Amino acid sequence: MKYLVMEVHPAYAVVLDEEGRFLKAANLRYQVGDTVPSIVELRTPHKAAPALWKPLSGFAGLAACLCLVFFGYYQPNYTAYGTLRIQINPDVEMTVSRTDRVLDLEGLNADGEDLIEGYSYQGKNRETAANELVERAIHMGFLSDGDTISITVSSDDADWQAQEEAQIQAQLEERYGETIVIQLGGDTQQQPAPTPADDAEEVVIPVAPTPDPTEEEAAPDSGSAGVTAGSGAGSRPNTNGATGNTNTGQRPNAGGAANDDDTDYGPSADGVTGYDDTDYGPNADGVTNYDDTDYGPSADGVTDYENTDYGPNSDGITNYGDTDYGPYTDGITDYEDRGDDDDDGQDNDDDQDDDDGDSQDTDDDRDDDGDD
Amino acid sequence: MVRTEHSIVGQVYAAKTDPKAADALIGQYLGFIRSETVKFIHTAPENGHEDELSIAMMAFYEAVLSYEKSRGAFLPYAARAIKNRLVDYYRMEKRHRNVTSLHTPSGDDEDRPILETIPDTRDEIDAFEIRTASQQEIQEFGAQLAGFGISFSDVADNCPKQERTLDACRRVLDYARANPELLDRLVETGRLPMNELAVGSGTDKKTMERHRKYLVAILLAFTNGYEIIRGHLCRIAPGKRGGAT
Repeated sequence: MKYLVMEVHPAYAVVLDEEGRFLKAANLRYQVGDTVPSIVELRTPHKAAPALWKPLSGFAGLAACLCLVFFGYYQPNYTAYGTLRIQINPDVEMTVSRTDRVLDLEGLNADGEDLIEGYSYQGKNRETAANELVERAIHMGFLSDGDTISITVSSDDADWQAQEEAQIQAQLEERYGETIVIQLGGDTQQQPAPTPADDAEEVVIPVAPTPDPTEEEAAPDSGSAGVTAGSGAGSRPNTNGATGNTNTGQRPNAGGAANDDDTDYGPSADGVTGYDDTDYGPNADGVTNYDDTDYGPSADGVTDYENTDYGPNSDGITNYGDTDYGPYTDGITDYEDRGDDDDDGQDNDDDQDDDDGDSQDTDDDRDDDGDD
Repeated sequence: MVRTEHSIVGQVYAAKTDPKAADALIGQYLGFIRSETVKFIHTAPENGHEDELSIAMMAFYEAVLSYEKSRGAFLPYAARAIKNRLVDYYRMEKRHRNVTSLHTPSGDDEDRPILETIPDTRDEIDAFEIRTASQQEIQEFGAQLAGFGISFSDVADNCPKQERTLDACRRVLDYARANPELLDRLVETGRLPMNELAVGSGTDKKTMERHRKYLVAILLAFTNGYEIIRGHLCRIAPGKRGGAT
């Protein structure tokens, strides 16, 4: 390859090769017009691709950090993920983030407003807030033993909702389950919740108030609570049988607020709380005859354990020796009688007939099926 | 010191794009280039090491082209570039080391170099005439290019490096040579007939635009005149025809 020198500079020369390339080469004392056999070509620096990312890298990093903060910290902690509605009589709804952080608390009725007034939910999680609210409700007299707390969780995330429901129920059951009924899923028709009611999964777990000594002790308290509630909130929905919110219902004589003192429920409600009368059942005569353990129809007060002669021929004599069961029971087990019978054939015929009858029966069954 | 560095950085950045500024800068720093060369060859460049000095000057120019502010002070950077380039040059020249120089004494009585014992077959006068003629032609060519606002340095910078792109440019040239009116139009109007060339040669317009200066130069070389240059570009035509068939 020959090169034609086109232009000379102190440091380099522009040469034209035979293939039409213009090149820059070391100027080894060339002159314009020279034809040289070999050149020392200039190495042009590799044009570094303009780093488009460089001015953007700062923004990209910032954006990445923001994304991290937003999705990793802010969103789970500070955006509403679901609502938890607690209905005692005060109706309170808390807005909860995904990580169970209470974001907002509002009372949905007047009592609810009262309940949360002055209560600071900031930075508390759902568990603490729920416990404290129930505690507060008890303290302020909204909630007494045997009452019902109805909890409604609603969220777009069904899994989260179910989990929250289970958690809050377990948590409240553990703390108040002995005295207070925790009910999942509230009656949202009574006071329309801002969240769609269809979402609320209504699971009613009846936890019947067991009559136990603690209730006796708590009776005066509940009485006073009833009075305050009666004066403060006369519209307490215990006349409304359909709601069943605070009233586990089916109290026949739960007629009004005045009857709150009357804790004598049930059919024999005579206004006297016969707690002492533990004599239940048909023979209830007020005398608890624990000693009488003679139950059943032939209860004559004498527990005749010795009499082990059951069945229809029970004559008090257990005749174990008599192994002659069945229709021909005459007390004599006549094994020989059958074997020695001359009319074997007839017996067999009978048996066959019986079999035929059986098969016919099954056929009839089939026919019946077919007719059906 | 800081101020000097500062001024040289500005000069270097100016020299990156402007060949005249580059020439001036190299002239200004010739002492530095020379001293760096001497450090490497341990003798004066005039003692038969002129090539090394030229290489060093080119290395300095390369350093100017590739220098970035983020790479530190310019002069140490240039010194390193010169040294590396000279090392490369020596390695490249090593293959000729066992070739006897024409300047070595021939060994006969008269103590003449070998060069003088070889019969001189070259017609110096003829060569001089050819060189003068080509010089003239190249100057003319350069002047015409300057009319387009293009210098040879620009053309060299604009020359396609990739074989594929070079082929594309050759296709354009082939088409233009097949249609001389396009070449005439280029000379008359001073513009590349882009559309016709792109459609006729099937080359992407963008590629043509990117190598516009080069295309102007190579097309001008094939207009009338410039016999010597065209003669020099002997490999274009067969290569092209060979590729076409």
